[in-house]
Amino acid sequence: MTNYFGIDFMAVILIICIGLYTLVMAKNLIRMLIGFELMTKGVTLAFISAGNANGRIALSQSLVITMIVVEVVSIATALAIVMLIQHKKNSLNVRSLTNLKG
Amino acid sequence: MELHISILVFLFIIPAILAAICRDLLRSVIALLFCSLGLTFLLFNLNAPLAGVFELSVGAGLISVLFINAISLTRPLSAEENLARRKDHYRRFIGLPFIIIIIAALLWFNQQQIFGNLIFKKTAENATIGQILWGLRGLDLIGQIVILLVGVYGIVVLFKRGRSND
Repeated sequence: MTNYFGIDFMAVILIICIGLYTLVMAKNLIRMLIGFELMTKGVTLAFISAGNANGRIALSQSLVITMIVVEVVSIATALAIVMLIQHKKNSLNVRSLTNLKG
Repeated sequence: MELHISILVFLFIIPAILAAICRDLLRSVIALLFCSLGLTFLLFNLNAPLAGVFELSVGAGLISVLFINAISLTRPLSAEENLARRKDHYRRFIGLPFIIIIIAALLWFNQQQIFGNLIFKKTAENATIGQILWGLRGLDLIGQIVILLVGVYGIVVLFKRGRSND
């Protein structure tokens, strides 16, 4: 018999796989950030389903609220860096970032 | 009830796959928005309404606005570049649905071995979210304030660049 926790954690594993695949295969910097965003959504669901399973939902909610704040900040900062790269290189392709290549 | 949560999981996973596969970045961001919406429904279903509201307002709202703003400030591809990249994009992402189906099938048929040992002891929780957020935490609040200031600086840089391009 399937329990809720199993279905939730299947979704967590699948969404982290989707995010990881996007992060590895994408060449576009914004698409890479979308992959990162998908992975953080998986982590959010993992926290809440674990909190729901062991009865400490308030603790997991407070952790998730903190995590969402950090997630927004990291996305805003990363997008600002992406815009600076676009301004300098006129491209969003990650393969064009070869300045530090020996 | 079990069917109910399965539908919610599908509403969460399908937009995530679309967000990864769509070639147009704007459509990817809209799919990400729907993924956030699905996650919000799941959080409400898992007795976490505050995290759900936060995810809906910040995860679906603010992050989508930031992404759409950044996409609107980037240079659109020309018709030739668009045609050249179309094939390459679909070749790289065509494997994703198959990989997801294989992983989902493996998880579904082996769930007893994988998730059967995950036994959680139910504990009573007396503290509220407010008490945990403001009572249990110490110096990490200063770190969070610094992180917020970094985010504000990032948004200032993002919008300043937009003005100078005009």
